[in-house]
Amino acid sequence: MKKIFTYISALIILIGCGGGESSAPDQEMVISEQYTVSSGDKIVKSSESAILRVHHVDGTKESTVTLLEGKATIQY
Amino acid sequence: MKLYKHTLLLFTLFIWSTSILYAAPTKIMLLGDSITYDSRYGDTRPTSTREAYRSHLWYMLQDAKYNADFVGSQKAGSTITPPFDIDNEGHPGWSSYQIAERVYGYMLNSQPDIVLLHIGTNDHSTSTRGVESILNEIDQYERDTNHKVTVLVALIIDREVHDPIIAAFNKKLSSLISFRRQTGDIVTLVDMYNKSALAPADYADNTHPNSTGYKKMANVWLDALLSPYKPFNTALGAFSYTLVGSEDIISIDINEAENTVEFETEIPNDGIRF
Repeated sequence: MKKIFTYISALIILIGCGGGESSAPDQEMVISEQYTVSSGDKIVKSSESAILRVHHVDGTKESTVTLLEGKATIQY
Repeated sequence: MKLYKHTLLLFTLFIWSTSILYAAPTKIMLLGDSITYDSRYGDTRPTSTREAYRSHLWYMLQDAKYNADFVGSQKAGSTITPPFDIDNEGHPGWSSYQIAERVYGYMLNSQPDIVLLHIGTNDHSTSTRGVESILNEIDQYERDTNHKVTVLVALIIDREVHDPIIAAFNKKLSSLISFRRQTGDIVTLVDMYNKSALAPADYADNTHPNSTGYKKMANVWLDALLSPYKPFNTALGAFSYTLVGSEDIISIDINEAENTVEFETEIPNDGIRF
Protein backbone atom coordinates (compact mmCIF):
# COMPACT_ATOMS: atom_id res chain seq x y z
CA MET A 1 0.00 0.00 0.00
CA LYS A 2 2.84 2.35 0.90
CA LYS A 3 4.58 1.45 -2.38
CA ILE A 4 1.46 2.22 -4.42
CA PHE A 5 1.07 5.57 -2.66
CA THR A 6 4.72 6.41 -3.42
CA TYR A 7 4.31 5.50 -7.12
CA ILE A 8 1.15 7.59 -7.47
CA SER A 9 2.76 10.56 -5.72
CA ALA A 10 5.80 10.33 -8.00
CA LEU A 11 3.55 10.13 -11.06
CA ILE A 12 1.58 13.21 -10.00
CA ILE A 13 4.81 15.15 -9.45
CA LEU A 14 6.18 14.07 -12.84
CA ILE A 15 2.98 15.00 -14.70
CA GLY A 16 2.84 18.28 -12.84
CA CYS A 17 6.40 19.20 -13.83
CA GLY A 18 6.42 18.10 -17.46
CA GLY A 19 2.87 18.59 -18.69
CA GLY A 20 2.83 22.36 -19.19
CA GLU A 21 3.82 23.99 -22.51
CA SER A 22 6.50 26.61 -22.08
CA SER A 23 5.35 29.90 -23.66
CA ALA A 24 7.68 32.50 -25.16
CA PRO A 25 8.22 35.66 -23.11
CA ASP A 26 6.33 38.81 -24.03
CA GLN A 27 7.87 40.74 -26.88
CA GLU A 28 8.00 44.52 -26.78
CA MET A 29 7.45 45.74 -30.33
CA VAL A 30 9.83 48.09 -32.10
CA ILE A 31 8.32 50.58 -34.55
CA SER A 32 8.52 49.52 -38.24
CA GLU A 33 9.80 46.04 -37.39
CA GLN A 34 7.82 43.03 -38.62
CA TYR A 35 6.69 40.25 -36.30
CA THR A 36 4.80 37.03 -36.97
CA VAL A 37 1.85 36.25 -34.74
CA SER A 38 -0.25 33.08 -34.64
CA SER A 39 -3.72 32.18 -33.60
CA GLY A 40 -4.04 32.77 -29.80
CA ASP A 41 -1.36 35.49 -29.57
CA LYS A 42 -2.40 38.88 -28.23
CA ILE A 43 -1.13 42.40 -28.81
CA VAL A 44 -1.72 45.01 -26.13
CA LYS A 45 -0.80 48.68 -26.22
CA SER A 46 1.34 50.31 -23.53
CA SER A 47 0.84 53.89 -24.68
CA GLU A 48 -2.38 55.88 -24.90
CA SER A 49 -2.55 55.35 -28.65
CA ALA A 50 -0.85 52.72 -30.80
CA ILE A 51 -1.35 51.96 -34.48
CA LEU A 52 -0.71 48.55 -35.95
CA ARG A 53 -0.50 47.25 -39.52
CA VAL A 54 -1.66 43.66 -40.03
CA HIS A 55 -0.91 41.63 -43.15
CA HIS A 56 -2.71 38.32 -43.58
CA VAL A 57 -2.83 35.67 -46.29
CA ASP A 58 -6.24 34.00 -46.49
CA GLY A 59 -6.22 30.38 -45.34
CA THR A 60 -3.15 30.68 -43.12
CA LYS A 61 -3.02 30.81 -39.29
CA GLU A 62 -0.26 33.42 -39.08
CA SER A 63 -0.24 37.17 -39.68
CA THR A 64 2.57 39.66 -40.04
CA VAL A 65 2.25 42.70 -37.80
CA THR A 66 4.11 46.02 -37.78
CA LEU A 67 3.80 48.71 -35.14
CA LEU A 68 3.46 52.09 -36.87
CA GLU A 69 2.95 54.41 -33.89
CA GLY A 70 2.98 54.20 -30.07
CA LYS A 71 4.09 51.33 -27.87
CA ALA A 72 2.80 47.74 -27.77
CA THR A 73 3.68 44.26 -26.60
CA ILE A 74 3.03 40.85 -28.11
CA GLN A 75 1.88 38.25 -25.59
CA TYR A 76 2.61 34.79 -27.02
CA MET B 1 -53.83 18.23 -91.15
CA LYS B 2 -50.60 16.30 -91.86
CA LEU B 3 -49.33 19.10 -94.08
CA TYR B 4 -50.09 21.58 -91.32
CA LYS B 5 -48.07 19.50 -88.81
CA HIS B 6 -45.09 19.28 -91.19
CA THR B 7 -45.18 23.00 -91.87
CA LEU B 8 -45.28 23.74 -88.15
CA LEU B 9 -42.33 21.40 -87.52
CA LEU B 10 -40.28 22.97 -90.32
CA PHE B 11 -41.06 26.45 -89.06
CA THR B 12 -39.99 25.50 -85.50
CA LEU B 13 -36.76 23.99 -86.82
CA PHE B 14 -36.07 27.12 -88.87
CA ILE B 15 -36.52 29.41 -85.85
CA TRP B 16 -34.33 27.15 -83.68
CA SER B 17 -31.50 26.97 -86.25
CA THR B 18 -31.48 30.71 -86.93
CA SER B 19 -31.35 31.42 -83.20
CA ILE B 20 -28.21 29.26 -82.99
CA LEU B 21 -26.61 30.69 -86.11
CA TYR B 22 -27.40 34.30 -85.23
CA ALA B 23 -26.94 34.34 -81.44
CA ALA B 24 -26.71 37.93 -80.31
CA PRO B 25 -23.11 39.07 -79.93
CA THR B 26 -21.84 40.36 -76.59
CA LYS B 27 -21.83 44.14 -76.71
CA ILE B 28 -18.54 45.44 -75.34
CA MET B 29 -17.90 49.12 -74.67
CA LEU B 30 -14.23 50.14 -74.63
CA LEU B 31 -14.42 53.21 -72.38
CA GLY B 32 -11.57 55.57 -71.65
CA ASP B 33 -9.35 58.33 -72.99
CA SER B 34 -6.63 58.61 -75.64
CA ILE B 35 -5.19 55.25 -74.58
CA THR B 36 -8.45 53.69 -75.74
CA TYR B 37 -8.95 55.89 -78.79
CA ASP B 38 -5.28 56.03 -79.86
CA SER B 39 -4.02 59.58 -79.75
CA ARG B 40 -0.60 60.92 -78.83
CA TYR B 41 0.70 64.39 -78.05
CA GLY B 42 0.62 66.48 -81.25
CA ASP B 43 -0.82 63.56 -83.19
CA THR B 44 -1.56 64.34 -86.86
CA ARG B 45 -2.45 60.83 -88.02
CA PRO B 46 -5.86 60.56 -89.65
CA THR B 47 -8.69 59.16 -87.53
CA SER B 48 -8.95 56.18 -89.84
CA THR B 49 -5.53 54.93 -88.70
CA ARG B 50 -6.16 55.06 -84.93
CA GLU B 51 -6.48 51.65 -83.30
CA ALA B 52 -4.83 51.52 -79.84
CA TYR B 53 -5.42 48.11 -78.19
CA ARG B 54 -8.84 47.85 -79.85
CA SER B 55 -7.79 46.19 -83.12
CA HIS B 56 -5.49 43.72 -81.36
CA LEU B 57 -8.25 42.79 -78.92
CA TRP B 58 -10.71 42.37 -81.78
CA TYR B 59 -8.40 39.98 -83.65
CA MET B 60 -7.73 38.01 -80.46
CA LEU B 61 -11.46 37.72 -79.74
CA GLN B 62 -12.07 36.54 -83.30
CA ASP B 63 -9.38 33.87 -82.87
CA ALA B 64 -11.01 32.81 -79.59
CA LYS B 65 -14.40 32.53 -81.43
CA TYR B 66 -15.80 35.14 -79.05
CA ASN B 67 -18.87 36.72 -80.61
CA ALA B 68 -18.24 40.39 -79.80
CA ASP B 69 -19.72 43.66 -80.91
CA PHE B 70 -17.71 46.74 -79.90
CA VAL B 71 -20.08 49.63 -79.22
CA GLY B 72 -19.74 53.36 -78.65
CA SER B 73 -20.21 56.80 -80.16
CA GLN B 74 -16.59 57.14 -81.35
CA LYS B 75 -15.27 55.53 -84.52
CA ALA B 76 -11.59 55.27 -85.36
CA GLY B 77 -9.51 52.85 -87.39
CA SER B 78 -11.54 52.33 -90.58
CA THR B 79 -8.49 51.85 -92.84
CA ILE B 80 -6.69 49.40 -90.55
CA THR B 81 -6.25 45.94 -92.06
CA PRO B 82 -7.53 43.41 -91.35
CA PRO B 83 -10.65 45.43 -90.60
CA PHE B 84 -12.05 45.42 -87.07
CA ASP B 85 -15.04 46.86 -85.21
CA ILE B 86 -14.04 50.51 -84.88
CA ASP B 87 -16.81 51.58 -82.45
CA ASN B 88 -15.47 52.74 -79.12
CA GLU B 89 -15.92 55.23 -76.30
CA GLY B 90 -12.36 56.54 -76.09
CA HIS B 91 -12.18 60.33 -75.55
CA PRO B 92 -8.66 61.77 -75.91
CA GLY B 93 -7.64 64.12 -73.12
CA TRP B 94 -10.65 63.39 -70.94
CA SER B 95 -10.45 62.88 -67.21
CA SER B 96 -12.56 60.39 -65.26
CA TYR B 97 -14.83 63.25 -64.18
CA GLN B 98 -15.61 64.17 -67.80
CA ILE B 99 -16.43 60.53 -68.58
CA ALA B 100 -18.65 60.38 -65.48
CA GLU B 101 -20.72 63.32 -66.76
CA ARG B 102 -21.53 61.54 -70.03
CA VAL B 103 -21.39 57.83 -69.29
CA TYR B 104 -25.08 57.42 -68.51
CA GLY B 105 -25.96 58.68 -72.00
CA TYR B 106 -23.35 56.44 -73.60
CA MET B 107 -24.84 53.45 -71.79
CA LEU B 108 -28.36 54.32 -72.89
CA ASN B 109 -27.28 54.71 -76.53
CA SER B 110 -25.13 51.57 -76.78
CA GLN B 111 -26.60 49.26 -74.12
CA PRO B 112 -23.36 47.30 -73.57
CA ASP B 113 -23.23 43.98 -71.74
CA ILE B 114 -19.60 44.52 -70.72
CA VAL B 115 -17.62 47.72 -70.15
CA LEU B 116 -13.83 47.77 -70.27
CA LEU B 117 -12.77 50.89 -68.37
CA HIS B 118 -9.28 52.37 -68.50
CA ILE B 119 -9.45 55.91 -67.13
CA GLY B 120 -7.60 58.26 -64.79
CA THR B 121 -4.39 59.11 -66.66
CA ASN B 122 -5.61 62.66 -67.37
CA ASP B 123 -6.77 63.20 -63.78
CA HIS B 124 -3.18 63.84 -62.64
CA SER B 125 -4.40 63.06 -59.15
CA THR B 126 -4.46 60.20 -56.69
CA SER B 127 -8.20 60.64 -56.09
CA THR B 128 -10.51 57.97 -57.50
CA ARG B 129 -13.69 60.00 -57.03
CA GLY B 130 -14.17 60.29 -60.80
CA VAL B 131 -14.03 56.52 -61.29
CA GLU B 132 -16.42 56.09 -58.39
CA SER B 133 -18.85 58.49 -60.13
CA ILE B 134 -18.56 56.51 -63.39
CA LEU B 135 -19.40 53.28 -61.57
CA ASN B 136 -22.30 54.95 -59.76
CA GLU B 137 -23.68 56.18 -63.08
CA ILE B 138 -23.42 52.68 -64.57
CA ASP B 139 -25.18 51.25 -61.50
CA GLN B 140 -27.92 53.83 -61.94
CA TYR B 141 -28.27 52.83 -65.62
CA GLU B 142 -28.57 49.17 -64.57
CA ARG B 143 -31.30 49.99 -62.07
CA ASP B 144 -33.21 52.21 -64.50
CA THR B 145 -33.11 49.77 -67.41
CA ASN B 146 -32.96 46.46 -65.54
CA HIS B 147 -29.99 45.56 -67.75
CA LYS B 148 -27.04 43.91 -65.99
CA VAL B 149 -23.63 45.19 -67.00
CA THR B 150 -20.30 43.60 -66.14
CA VAL B 151 -17.64 46.24 -65.61
CA LEU B 152 -13.95 45.43 -65.89
CA VAL B 153 -11.93 48.26 -64.35
CA ALA B 154 -8.24 48.47 -65.19
CA LEU B 155 -5.48 49.59 -62.92
CA ILE B 156 -4.15 52.17 -65.39
CA ILE B 157 -0.80 51.78 -67.11
CA ASP B 158 2.23 53.67 -65.86
CA ARG B 159 3.97 56.32 -67.94
CA GLU B 160 7.25 55.49 -69.65
CA VAL B 161 8.98 57.40 -66.85
CA HIS B 162 7.48 55.97 -63.66
CA ASP B 163 4.73 58.20 -62.28
CA PRO B 164 4.19 57.85 -58.50
CA ILE B 165 0.81 59.60 -58.83
CA ILE B 166 -0.44 56.76 -61.06
CA ALA B 167 0.91 54.17 -58.59
CA ALA B 168 -0.95 55.88 -55.71
CA PHE B 169 -4.10 56.27 -57.85
CA ASN B 170 -4.04 52.54 -58.63
CA LYS B 171 -3.66 51.65 -54.96
CA LYS B 172 -6.78 53.65 -54.13
CA LEU B 173 -8.57 52.23 -57.17
CA SER B 174 -7.83 48.71 -55.97
CA SER B 175 -9.37 49.53 -52.56
CA LEU B 176 -12.38 51.15 -54.21
CA ILE B 177 -13.10 48.10 -56.35
CA SER B 178 -12.67 45.74 -53.39
CA PHE B 179 -15.12 47.80 -51.38
CA ARG B 180 -17.68 47.83 -54.19
CA ARG B 181 -17.32 44.08 -54.68
CA GLN B 182 -17.89 43.55 -50.96
CA THR B 183 -21.14 45.45 -51.28
CA GLY B 184 -22.35 43.31 -54.20
CA ASP B 185 -21.37 45.37 -57.25
CA ILE B 186 -20.56 43.18 -60.28
CA VAL B 187 -17.19 44.70 -61.04
CA THR B 188 -13.79 43.14 -61.64
CA LEU B 189 -10.37 44.68 -61.22
CA VAL B 190 -7.98 44.08 -64.12
CA ASP B 191 -4.34 44.54 -63.22
CA MET B 192 -3.28 46.27 -66.41
CA TYR B 193 -0.59 48.15 -64.46
CA ASN B 194 1.46 45.02 -63.74
CA LYS B 195 0.19 42.38 -66.13
CA SER B 196 0.73 44.42 -69.30
CA ALA B 197 4.43 44.55 -68.27
CA LEU B 198 5.10 47.56 -70.47
CA ALA B 199 8.80 48.27 -71.03
CA PRO B 200 10.18 51.66 -72.16
CA ALA B 201 10.38 50.26 -75.69
CA ASP B 202 6.59 49.71 -75.65
CA TYR B 203 5.81 53.45 -75.52
CA ALA B 204 5.25 55.91 -78.37
CA ASP B 205 5.62 58.83 -75.95
CA ASN B 206 5.73 59.19 -72.19
CA THR B 207 2.03 58.33 -71.82
CA HIS B 208 0.86 56.30 -74.79
CA PRO B 209 1.95 52.80 -75.81
CA ASN B 210 3.04 51.97 -79.34
CA SER B 211 1.60 49.04 -81.27
CA THR B 212 3.66 46.49 -79.27
CA GLY B 213 2.50 48.03 -76.00
CA TYR B 214 -1.13 48.11 -77.12
CA LYS B 215 -0.90 44.45 -78.08
CA LYS B 216 0.26 43.67 -74.53
CA MET B 217 -2.72 45.60 -73.18
CA ALA B 218 -5.08 43.68 -75.47
CA ASN B 219 -3.72 40.41 -74.08
CA VAL B 220 -4.59 41.48 -70.53
CA TRP B 221 -8.11 42.53 -71.57
CA LEU B 222 -8.55 39.22 -73.40
CA ASP B 223 -7.56 37.21 -70.33
CA ALA B 224 -10.02 39.19 -68.22
CA LEU B 225 -12.82 38.76 -70.75
CA LEU B 226 -12.30 35.02 -71.04
CA SER B 227 -11.99 34.45 -67.28
CA PRO B 228 -15.21 33.53 -65.49
CA TYR B 229 -16.51 36.11 -63.02
CA LYS B 230 -14.98 35.53 -59.59
CA PRO B 231 -17.20 36.48 -56.68
CA PHE B 232 -15.71 38.39 -53.78
CA ASN B 233 -13.89 36.31 -51.14
CA THR B 234 -16.02 37.12 -48.10
CA ALA B 235 -13.56 35.52 -45.66
CA LEU B 236 -10.89 37.96 -46.80
CA GLY B 237 -13.27 40.87 -46.44
CA ALA B 238 -14.34 39.84 -42.94
CA PHE B 239 -10.88 39.02 -41.51
CA SER B 240 -10.08 42.44 -40.06
CA TYR B 241 -13.52 42.72 -38.45
CA THR B 242 -13.02 39.41 -36.63
CA LEU B 243 -10.07 41.00 -34.79
CA VAL B 244 -11.10 44.59 -34.13
CA GLY B 245 -14.20 46.74 -34.30
CA SER B 246 -14.81 48.82 -37.41
CA GLU B 247 -14.43 52.02 -35.33
CA ASP B 248 -10.74 51.19 -34.78
CA ILE B 249 -9.89 50.34 -38.40
CA ILE B 250 -8.10 53.11 -40.24
CA SER B 251 -7.74 51.48 -43.68
CA ILE B 252 -8.18 48.10 -45.35
CA ASP B 253 -6.42 47.00 -48.52
CA ILE B 254 -7.64 43.72 -49.96
CA ASN B 255 -5.65 42.11 -52.77
CA GLU B 256 -7.93 39.48 -54.25
CA ALA B 257 -5.36 38.37 -56.81
CA GLU B 258 -2.87 37.48 -54.06
CA ASN B 259 -5.58 36.50 -51.57
CA THR B 260 -4.23 38.91 -48.96
CA VAL B 261 -5.63 41.57 -46.69
CA GLU B 262 -3.62 44.36 -45.09
CA PHE B 263 -5.19 46.77 -42.66
CA GLU B 264 -4.14 49.49 -40.27
CA THR B 265 -5.86 49.80 -36.93
CA GLU B 266 -5.75 51.54 -33.60
CA ILE B 267 -5.01 48.91 -30.97
CA PRO B 268 -8.13 48.88 -28.75
CA ASN B 269 -7.82 49.18 -24.97
CA ASP B 270 -8.39 45.44 -24.47
CA GLY B 271 -5.81 44.55 -27.15
CA ILE B 272 -6.08 42.37 -30.23
CA ARG B 273 -6.39 38.61 -29.85
CA PHE B 274 -5.37 36.67 -33.02
